[in-house]
Amino acid sequence: MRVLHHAAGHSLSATTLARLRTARHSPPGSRFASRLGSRWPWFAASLASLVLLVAVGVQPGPQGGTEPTQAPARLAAAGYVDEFESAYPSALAALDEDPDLYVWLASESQPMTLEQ
Amino acid sequence: MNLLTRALPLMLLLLSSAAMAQSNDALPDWDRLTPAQREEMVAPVRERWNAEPAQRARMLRNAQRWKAMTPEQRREARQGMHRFRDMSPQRRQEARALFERMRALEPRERAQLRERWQTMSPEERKQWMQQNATPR
Repeated sequence: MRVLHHAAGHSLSATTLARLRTARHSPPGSRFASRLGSRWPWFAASLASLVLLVAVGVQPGPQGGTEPTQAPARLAAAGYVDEFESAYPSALAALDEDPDLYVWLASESQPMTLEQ
Repeated sequence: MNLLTRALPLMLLLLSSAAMAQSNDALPDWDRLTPAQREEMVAPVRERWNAEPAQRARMLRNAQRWKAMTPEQRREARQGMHRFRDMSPQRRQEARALFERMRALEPRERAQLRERWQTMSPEERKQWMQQNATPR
């Protein structure tokens, strides 16, 4: 084993040996920095990109995550489009019932045990 | 390996830029949608409209009512809509019938009906529905 190590040492260039020697005698933190060398801007850019990706990936949706996350369906009947429809799971559901029924349901704090 | 270490930051930067662009990319107003996009939006309504001639008047009336509502009414309606969506079909029928009946009543009579409904047995509610529910 020692012979192999000796032979391997001889096969390395003087520059590599000097670098290995310096690395062996330096503290761990500076060893990492010296390994980065002139590539630290690339490392910083990678780190920033990762942080950015994670930040974009975890940001809440336009409804704050509480509404169903289906694609917005905008009402187009009767020749108009209303902004509020973008929050609806289905534009057709809005046309199926009298909207005042929905208002009434929302106003019933005790919904007459309808949901039981 | 050296190529990878040099290319990786560039790839990550490109990916993050694409992700940012996607998250900020809002669709335009209706007038600036492409004909294909408008078609996708309108198609479900058109299909329903064509498939159910008997419901056309009701659909149009409901659409007109939505349009006439104030933003506050729409907000409340949206809440009620979520409530309605979570009900069973039977509860939905009851809600429709109760709403129609209550709309025709004075506040005092509404309170009485509300109170009465709370105490009704399932069989009594069924009878009430037979007497008061109007077919759609």
